[in-house]
This record gives sequence, structure tokens and C-alpha cells, in this order.
Amino acid sequence: MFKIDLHCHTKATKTDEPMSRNVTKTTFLSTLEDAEVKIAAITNHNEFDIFQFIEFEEYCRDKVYIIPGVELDIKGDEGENGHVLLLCDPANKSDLNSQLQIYTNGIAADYVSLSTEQLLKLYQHLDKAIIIAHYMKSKELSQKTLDHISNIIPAYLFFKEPSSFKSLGILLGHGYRGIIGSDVQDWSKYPSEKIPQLKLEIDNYNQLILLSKKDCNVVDTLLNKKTSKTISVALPNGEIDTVKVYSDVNIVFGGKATGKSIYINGIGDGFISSGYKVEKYNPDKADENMNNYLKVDFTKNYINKFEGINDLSFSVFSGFADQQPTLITSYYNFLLHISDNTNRQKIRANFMLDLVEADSSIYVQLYNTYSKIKEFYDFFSINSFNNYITKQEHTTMITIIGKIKTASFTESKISYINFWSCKLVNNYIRSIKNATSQCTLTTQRPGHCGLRMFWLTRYKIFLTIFNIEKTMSLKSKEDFLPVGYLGSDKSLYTKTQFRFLCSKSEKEEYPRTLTKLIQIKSKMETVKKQIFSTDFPTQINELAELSIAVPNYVSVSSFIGVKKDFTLNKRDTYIPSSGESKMFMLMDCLNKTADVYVLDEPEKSMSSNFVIHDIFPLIQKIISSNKFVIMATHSANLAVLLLPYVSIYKKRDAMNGNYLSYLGNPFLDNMTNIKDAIDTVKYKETCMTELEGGRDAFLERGETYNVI
Amino acid sequence: MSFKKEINATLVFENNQYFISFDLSENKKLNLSTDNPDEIKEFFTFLLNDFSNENFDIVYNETEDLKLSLFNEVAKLYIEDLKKELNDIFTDPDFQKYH
Repeated sequence: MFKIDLHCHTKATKTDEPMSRNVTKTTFLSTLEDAEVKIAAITNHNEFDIFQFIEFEEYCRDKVYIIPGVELDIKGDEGENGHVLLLCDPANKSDLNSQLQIYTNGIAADYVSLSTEQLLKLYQHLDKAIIIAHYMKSKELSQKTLDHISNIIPAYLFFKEPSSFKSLGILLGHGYRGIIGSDVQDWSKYPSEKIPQLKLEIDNYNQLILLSKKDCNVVDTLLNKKTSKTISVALPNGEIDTVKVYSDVNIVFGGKATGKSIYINGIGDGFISSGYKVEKYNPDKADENMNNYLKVDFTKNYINKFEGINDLSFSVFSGFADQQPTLITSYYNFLLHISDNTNRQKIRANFMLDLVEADSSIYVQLYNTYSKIKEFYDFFSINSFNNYITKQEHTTMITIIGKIKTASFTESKISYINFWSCKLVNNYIRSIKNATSQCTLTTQRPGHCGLRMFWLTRYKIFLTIFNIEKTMSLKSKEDFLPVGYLGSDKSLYTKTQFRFLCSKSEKEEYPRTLTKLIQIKSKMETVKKQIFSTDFPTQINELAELSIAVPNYVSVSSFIGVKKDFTLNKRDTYIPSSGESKMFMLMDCLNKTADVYVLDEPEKSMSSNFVIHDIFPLIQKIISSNKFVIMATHSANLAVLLLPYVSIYKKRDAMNGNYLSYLGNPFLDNMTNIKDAIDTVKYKETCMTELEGGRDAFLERGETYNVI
Repeated sequence: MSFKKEINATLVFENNQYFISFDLSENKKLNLSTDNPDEIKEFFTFLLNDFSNENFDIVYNETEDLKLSLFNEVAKLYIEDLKKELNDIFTDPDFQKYH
């Protein structure tokens, strides 16, 4: 347990305060130790007793870290009286003492009252002072005063103190910085149950500020409590590291060839084996993964990309045979016996030719059109649409559509009658001729010479090819799918182009079929041209054979070539650079839903600007949802500025080549060897060396930038 | 009214066989004595190729010396059917649509 109490009274400075607030240093320490409080601030009313503070600080050294402070009476901007706590770095306790004297010297604590401006002046004289204002309880300042204060001081230095632990949870849940202290009234009844626990162990005041900078919730509540997971990681030498990682950023850093990638992947695999959903990013696979966006599923049928097209199978070309003509013998035999039977000549039907029968699809099509009109007519008749048209307009519309309906029905009826009457007449003629032939033992007159049927059979093939070619001349279609962003004005999309085989078609659009399809298309053209050649049956059979040779048999959709490219802002084709591919793949990984994100050198090939402005917010969003980020990095921006809960420094022992792992975080300067607790390194110094290139390089850069 | 080209057809007797001879580009002959479907189909294709370009009428010219032959009747009846079917093709909506 690592509890923090930033609101302790050691003296009753006001006349109305209970004397039980007065405490000796021994009781102070023992009480706090019993309550497992590791950090405490002394905040007496309107007074900072520097001598008592030094005495307590000295007495508590290495046991409880004491922060100097004061609880001030403030006259707010709306004339209200409120209380705030002002804390500062113990190193600045003399400044606190001297600056406070300006406003309190010679004034009894009961009568001290600072204006908001005076409070802010006091704050400005103290480096990185923290202000904690009463909130949702007595002695609360007005919202106007609180806004005034928050406009001047950074958010991470301004906390609110509610009355209860429950209120604190609500406050933190809404993203406000909050803390709660004991405000101890009686040291014999120290309210240890009300004291919050810090999310992370820290060493000093500056690390408290760091923690606040990283996360507005510096203390645990039921809602924001970080979870942890202990993972066993297999090292290249066969040993096992057991490491505890948190639902936050966990950094692995160190020199080259120290096993960082293996380490983070080992942690990732540990999560996977425990059933967690893990997303991994590896910059070396970014190009390969990027190319996956351009993969096309060639087993899919893309005919629906073109509206109103039937995916006609080329099987219609199989088994073609010409309609056989009527033999001359039939005419000869008929004429040979025509005068043999006089009765035969009396029946006119014996000399009639077949009528031309219409295609049944014509009347079917006309009837379908009529059905659609009727359906609309019925629908329109029962709906008044009075929101859109007047009653008169509705009546007119019904009349017009009614006329169309009647005309359409008549047309389909005539077509139907024509079709069936021709068919019945032909049946009649054939029946009479057959009957006459049987009765008179003479040959019937041929109904036709077969020319029209011969023409029709071939012409149907011509029409089929004509329609296929018409379909294949349709304009290409394009689909765009967003991939990611290259800055605010550059969006990357995949452009999928669907087009029928043409002179510009490329191999990649038809990976296995292009040559065959070109042959088939060419053969179709030949067949169409030779529709009335003697060679036609051979040509059409060759077309059928070519069509069978293509997997899954050729249909119209087989001629749709598919090609995917990247495009910027849906315009020209764009080939992302290797660095851009990495950016996209990293963004893609971070935007996926997972429990754990394993990122291997995410900064590789990326600008620091992109890392800070695009990657940072995504990672912060992830960890705010209590998810795990495990990251190997050489970037100081990522390793340090993200203020990771866990930092693992990887090093190779120069003596025996063993892989060493030191565990720590920015809030504690010590990093401890996982296998040897005595072996420690300093966090700041190690980061400076490994991530910044050493202290000198870091300082020199600062001088060059003129920021030091 | 579109102009119809006239094709003359005549019955000829050569090498003991009867033919209808058409004054087409290749002076096409249809053998009436040997009944070969492929030969008829070839004749059809020949006819349809020319027919695709323009509308024409077939006029059968009887010859005095073969007037009494049964093959003269066969030729007349056959050409009558041929003309009717050519006309059916020419007036077919599909043919009208795509030519």
C-alpha cells in the first residue's frame, strides 16, 4: 500500500480548532506508518511553521515523505470565503515561509484572508506549487474563483478536494484532478480508511507532479484502478523473467541486440495464452502488411458492381448444331404424288406453309411490364400522398397510369394471342398434312425449306455475343475504402477498379486467366463475324472448348478484371513510401480493438512530430481504457514522455553475454535487476544515455535549440 | 419501298443431274438430284451472306426444254418457299433491330 495524505494538520492554529489537532512528531509518524501513508503534507491553517516542519521532516526521513504546505482562507472573486491548500517542493520550504510571511506576518490565523490575486502571486513565487481547493463541501470557493485560478495555473498542478471518497470517485470519473486528505481533527482517531492510495509508488514531490501530468487520476478509485498481469518471458538463453505489467504503457528500452523485440513478443504471447486479444505492430512487416490491403479475392464474383447485368454462362455456346434444312426429296416426293389422290387436293391445308411463330419471351416480357405498371397503379390508388400532391393531381395521375395499364395489358394480350394462334395454326396444318398423308399414302407438302430456322439458330448466337460485347463495353467502376491519414489533408484510400477485358487490361487484373480470356474474346469476335460462314459450327465449338478450359467455366463476370491501388484523397494512384506504410500500419494496429497492444519500435522511420501529435494521443486513449501497451523503443519521446507505469531496461552483460532486465519507472529513480535486487541502475541516467545519446548530447541539443 | 435486287434462278440439267442455278456472284448452283443437307446449308449460308447486305427477290425463269420435268415443279415450289422465308427473315424484328 502506498497511501498519500495531502491534508494534515499538526497544530490548532485557529481558536475554533480542536486541540486534538496538535501532534508530536512521534505520534505523527507512528500514526501515518500504521495507516501505511508514505507521503503526507502538513497544511495548518494560515501558518507555515518552518521549524516544526524541519523537525518532522528530519524525524520522518526515509519513512514518510513530508511535503510543506498551508491551508489558506481565501476571499474569492465573488466575495465568498473559501479554503485552499497550497503545497510546494520541500526544497522550496524557505520560499514558502518567507512569501507567506508577506501576507500573514503579525496577523493571527483567525484573521488571515488572501484575495485570489494574492494567492496566485504566492503561487508564482513558488516553483511548481500545487493548489488544492475545497470542492463540493463547506468553504468551497465560487466557480468563478475556481475558473480564475485554473486559467492561471497548469491543470496538473490544480486539484479539487471533495468531502468523501465517493465524491472523489465521481470527480475522477469525470476527468477532473482530485485528491482527498484526512483533514485530521484528532490524531487519536486518524481516518486511515479515507486516505487514498497512489496509483504508483513515487519518491518525491517532482514525481508526484509527473504522475499528475501523466494522468489526471493520481489515486486509485474503484473505477480507475489499474490492473496488472504477471507474465513469464522466456529469454534467448533459456532463462525465464517474471515481470508484472500494468494496464498502461509498459516500455522496454536498451541498446541494439539486447533482446527487446523477443521480450515484448514474449509478453504478448503470455497474454495470448491467457486468452487476451493482442494486436502486434512490427515495422519490419509493415510493407508486407500494407500490401495485404491490395490483395484481391479472385474467387469472388464481382458482377454486382455493374447494375442490371446478367452473369450469362458461356455454356450457351456448348453443343451448338445447325438447324437441319428440309431435304429436296421432300419436295420431289410431294410433287410426285400430288395428283394421285383428288380428295387430297380438296383440302387446302395440305398446301399451306408454316406460319412464322413469334418468340414466347416477347409476350412474357410484355406481361411482366404490365404487371409492374399494375402493381404501381394499385399501390398509388390506395395511398393518397396528400403530403405531396393535391386530390385533383392524385386523380389525374390515377387516370393516366390507368390508361397506360390498359394499353399495356392490351398489347401483352395481343402478343399472347398472336403467339398461340400461330402455334395452333401450325399444329393444325401439320396435323391435317399428317392425316392426309396417312389416309392417302401420299407425301405431305413440306411446311418450309428450313432457311428461316437455319438463320434463327445462328442469329441467336449472334445476338448473345452482341449482348455480351455490349456488356463488356461498359465503363469501369471504382470503389474507395479508407486506409488512414497522412496528416490532416491527406487521406489514403484503396481504390478497387472493376473493368471488363479491354486493350488496357493488365495481367494483375486476371492473374491466371488473362491469356485465355483474350483468346475467348477474340474467338467471340470471329464467331460473330462468321455467323453465316460454313465454318461457323467449327468456330462456335472452338469457342465452347476455350470457355471450358477456364476454371469454373467462363461467364460474363469472368471478364471483370479487378485491380487495387492506393490513392491519396481518392485521386491519383499513390505508392506510399516505406515510412508512410509504417505510419498507416501503426495507426491501423492502434485503431483496432484489443486488450493488449505490442508495439516494436513504433517510432521507426517516423518523424518525431508524427509520434507526438498522432501516435501519442492514440496511445493515451488506449491506456485511458485500462488496456495494456507493451512497447520496445529507442525514442525518448515515447519512453519518457508517455510516463510509463513500467520501464524495463534491457542490457547485455559484457562479461558473460547474459541478457539483463532492469525494472522501474519514471516515478522512482531506481531500476532493479529482475534477477538480482542488489543490482540497480538510475532511471534518469540510463534514459539519458540510452535514449538521448548521453547527458552531453542532450544538453548540447538544448543549447543548439536555445532552450537551456 | 426499298429497292429489291432481282436474282434470277434457272433449272439446268448437267451430267445427268438437275440444278437450280442462281446468277449470284459465284453463279451458285443447288443440286436437286443428290440430296445433301450440308450442300443445302452451304447454299443457305451463301444466300444469307448476300442477304445480310441487301434485300433481294428471286425470280425463277422456266426453260422451254425442261418445262415438263418434275424437277421444274420442284424448283418452282422450292424457290417459292425460299422467297417466303427470306421475306420472313427480312421482316423479323430482331433482324430489323440489328441490321
